[in-house]
Amino acid sequence: MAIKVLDDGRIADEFEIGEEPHVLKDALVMRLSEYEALTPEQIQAMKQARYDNWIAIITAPQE
Amino acid sequence: MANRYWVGGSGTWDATSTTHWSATSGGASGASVPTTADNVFFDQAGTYTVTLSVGNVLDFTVSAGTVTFSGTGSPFVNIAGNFSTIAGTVWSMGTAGQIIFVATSAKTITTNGVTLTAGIITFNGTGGSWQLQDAFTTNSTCNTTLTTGTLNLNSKTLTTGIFTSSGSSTRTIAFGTGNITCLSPASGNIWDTSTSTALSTTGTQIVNIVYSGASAVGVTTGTLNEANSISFNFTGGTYSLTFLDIASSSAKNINFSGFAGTWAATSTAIIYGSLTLSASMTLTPILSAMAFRSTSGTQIITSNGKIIDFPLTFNGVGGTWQLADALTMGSTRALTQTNGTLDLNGKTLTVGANYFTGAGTKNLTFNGGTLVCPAASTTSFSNNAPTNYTTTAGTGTGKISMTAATAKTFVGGGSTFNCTLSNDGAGALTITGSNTFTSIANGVRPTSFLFTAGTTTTVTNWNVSGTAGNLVTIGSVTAATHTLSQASGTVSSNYLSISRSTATGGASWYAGANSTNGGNNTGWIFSNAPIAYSITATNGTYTLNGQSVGIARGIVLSGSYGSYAVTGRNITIAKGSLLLPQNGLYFLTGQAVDITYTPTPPVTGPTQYFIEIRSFTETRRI
Repeated sequence: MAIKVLDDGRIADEFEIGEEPHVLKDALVMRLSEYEALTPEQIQAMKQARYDNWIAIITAPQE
Repeated sequence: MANRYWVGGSGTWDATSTTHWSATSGGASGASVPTTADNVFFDQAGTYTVTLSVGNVLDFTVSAGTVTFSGTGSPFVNIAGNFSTIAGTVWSMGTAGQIIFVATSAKTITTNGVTLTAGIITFNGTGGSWQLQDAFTTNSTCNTTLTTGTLNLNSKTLTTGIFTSSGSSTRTIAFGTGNITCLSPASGNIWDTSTSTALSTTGTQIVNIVYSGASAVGVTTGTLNEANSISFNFTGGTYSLTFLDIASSSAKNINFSGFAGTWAATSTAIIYGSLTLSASMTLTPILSAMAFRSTSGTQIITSNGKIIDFPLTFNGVGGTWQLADALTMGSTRALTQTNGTLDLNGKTLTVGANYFTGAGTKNLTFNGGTLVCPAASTTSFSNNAPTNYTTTAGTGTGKISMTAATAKTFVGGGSTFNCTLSNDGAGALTITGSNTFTSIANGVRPTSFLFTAGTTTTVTNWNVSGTAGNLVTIGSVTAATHTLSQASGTVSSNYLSISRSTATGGASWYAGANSTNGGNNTGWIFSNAPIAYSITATNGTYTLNGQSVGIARGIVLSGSYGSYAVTGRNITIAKGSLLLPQNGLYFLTGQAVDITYTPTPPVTGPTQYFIEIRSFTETRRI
């Protein structure tokens, strides 16, 4: 996936994570300086955390 | 109008003393105390202190010396004209001091970098306007108040502790490209335009809340309309923020980047611009909907992984909202789309209990994004107001994903959905209405699709299949048939259990050899779809490897297109024009090749004909 520069100067590291049918299409949006301060492992961990939170919601038993 | 000049060095400025006032620059003292009809000048060299008690001036000018303005008691100065100081001036009235700008016509304010320390600075004059000539800065606890008139930032920054403009008098904040920066929540509210009657704003309308502490902060915006609404940036702090907590209170762009506190919105509020949440902030769940109401441009929603645990409404005629990242709502919250375009922008939007449409002109654009409806509900996806509801595929393939593990309903409303509708949960998916889809698919199996009897569901592609032991059920909600329609092509399903289903439209509907005919079906073919190969010679060279390959006659294998290698145990090449000599050489490889040649016109004369057969090693004529 692509890293885009948004109109306000922030960057968006767009990513997809998961397997069908539960694929999260997401992006990490922040200032470039913040992004460059992160290690690849930290970036991946942030993406995984996003997915873990999301999958917990959509697969939660319904009331 | 008279001019008054401060003379005699340090002293007190009050309502009666003439000790330090002169009618001329550097002249004798004893002139009358200035009023708001008199210009006041501090133009003497040297360093001295003016202790303010009560002051009234027209123009206030500091042009020389190093003057300290201090206060005694509850000092105040009314300034009816221009205000100008020079660098090096010290303004230190204390937290009880007040500067009151009372002009009734256009005036200017020039501080030359002097920080004005006071308790309250007020702009209050009917018909008055104050244009900043440079940045205007106060101490961090000062409350700057606009009561009446126009505060013209003139594209400069106004920095103050608190800003207040709450009331019913006619007033304007003209930002230009400037901004107001608020430093401290000394009394709770750091921004207060709670009664926004007759308040208008122009320009960039940006307010920066830069407080970085932990004390509670209130930002009360009032009910400004879209044109007058103000953008707020919350740049830091761990405080509890009360913001958009009153019904119909509004803001333009809201940016929480850097904020690590808690946002407690408690009532229906309106956002006319973009919303950026911070990954480290906390959102308090609320019951009332947050409404996005922009009517122009594209607004960006960045949730940074925060779950938005309040209902959302998108309702702005002509507005567009685009997701910058995945947006996930609390499981009990509904999203309602009434007016405007919601662009998923390739991201995943996970609603809570419902996706609703409301009466208005609305569009859902996918651009490869996915709308996830996770609720097990009869209104999980509910197109309640299908009139003027459109969907746009954009770039890529969009999807509406129904993920509940138990029964759920897609209320289509008879609309066209330029996306895939996918049943991605084990629970039966009931589809109501005669809708049109790019495709219908399933991400899990076994599962069920139930259509309202009497409806016609039109698809471009039907992509529903089960697996061995995991059949996908196709049926009607009641004991009557539904219709599935695909205009062309071949439907190739398998492992379905089908009943009360009419398959039509022009396509060949193959249910698959492993599917079950539950009865009352029409149009379904309960066998595997034939495998079709299509070879277009113009695309290059193809090598076909297979036990059985059927190649339809045509121009595909014309020699002029190049060389073809055909490998197979059994190859039949139909007669035709393909083997004409002018098309080149042909190499036939097979266990047995029969060649039949019928001359046209038939051989009737003495002319001698040869049929030449070449192998790699010899040529023979017959």
